[in-house]
Amino acid sequence: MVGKSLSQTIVRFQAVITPALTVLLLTGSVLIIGEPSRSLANWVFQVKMILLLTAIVIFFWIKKISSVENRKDPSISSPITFNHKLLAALLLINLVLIIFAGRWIAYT
Amino acid sequence: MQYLDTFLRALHDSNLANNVRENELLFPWIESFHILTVSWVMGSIAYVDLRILGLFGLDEDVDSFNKNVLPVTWIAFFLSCVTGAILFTSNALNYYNNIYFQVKMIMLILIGINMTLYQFVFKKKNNPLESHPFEIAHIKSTKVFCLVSLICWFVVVVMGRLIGFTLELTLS
Repeated sequence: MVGKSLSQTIVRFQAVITPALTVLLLTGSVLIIGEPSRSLANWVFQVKMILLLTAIVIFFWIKKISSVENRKDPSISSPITFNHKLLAALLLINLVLIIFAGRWIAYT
Repeated sequence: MQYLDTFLRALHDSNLANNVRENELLFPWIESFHILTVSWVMGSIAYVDLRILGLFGLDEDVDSFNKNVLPVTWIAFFLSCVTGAILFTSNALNYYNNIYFQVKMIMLILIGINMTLYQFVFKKKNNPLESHPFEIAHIKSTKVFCLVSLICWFVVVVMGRLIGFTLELTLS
């Protein structure tokens, strides 16, 4: 990904992330429908859902910033600012916490 | 087989295994880190394999993909081995006898063989093509290596999950 602009990176990964997220959404929904009391009433599950929503918001925020900065020419790399790095770090932490929460649902 | 049994019992009776078994929080934490590192390995390998299969990032050459991702993959693989070994130690005998654990280990061996064949046999044979990084991805055999790798990793993840549903717990 060296030499690629932020918006180009997002476009590239969206092609892989979108189908993966769709599968996660479908399988997750089936698990909830199959045993609603086990998940919906579980506080770790509730935290996981909040983290998921936060991750989606951060992702679209990063996408918005990059599309505004590269509207004229998406191939030109815009400088990565402190805000970009902060949002990226937050998104990574969020995703790690989602994985942890997913595992801890079984133990609570 | 008797030596193996003795070894597994020794692992099971070790201080580390006792601590992991008896501490309510230790096992879930280590398991969470194991899942995190496995998804890290799987994600980074899929990143390269999908590129070679022509399904992702076609505007970048394969060697550049490899250089960016391989160090990350090895770090994650090392961490997943360490966390996996600790989990195994906590219940060594039962893990060893679990069919899904056995399939998972066979898949990991197959992945190792597949990777060794690709790196040290196939790539060496096709050495002239390395000067054209875009070309190596177009060889059919390269795609077969990647497909085998993706399928094996998928099975590793599925087996890993099935172990959790089938493992007999030994508390003492």
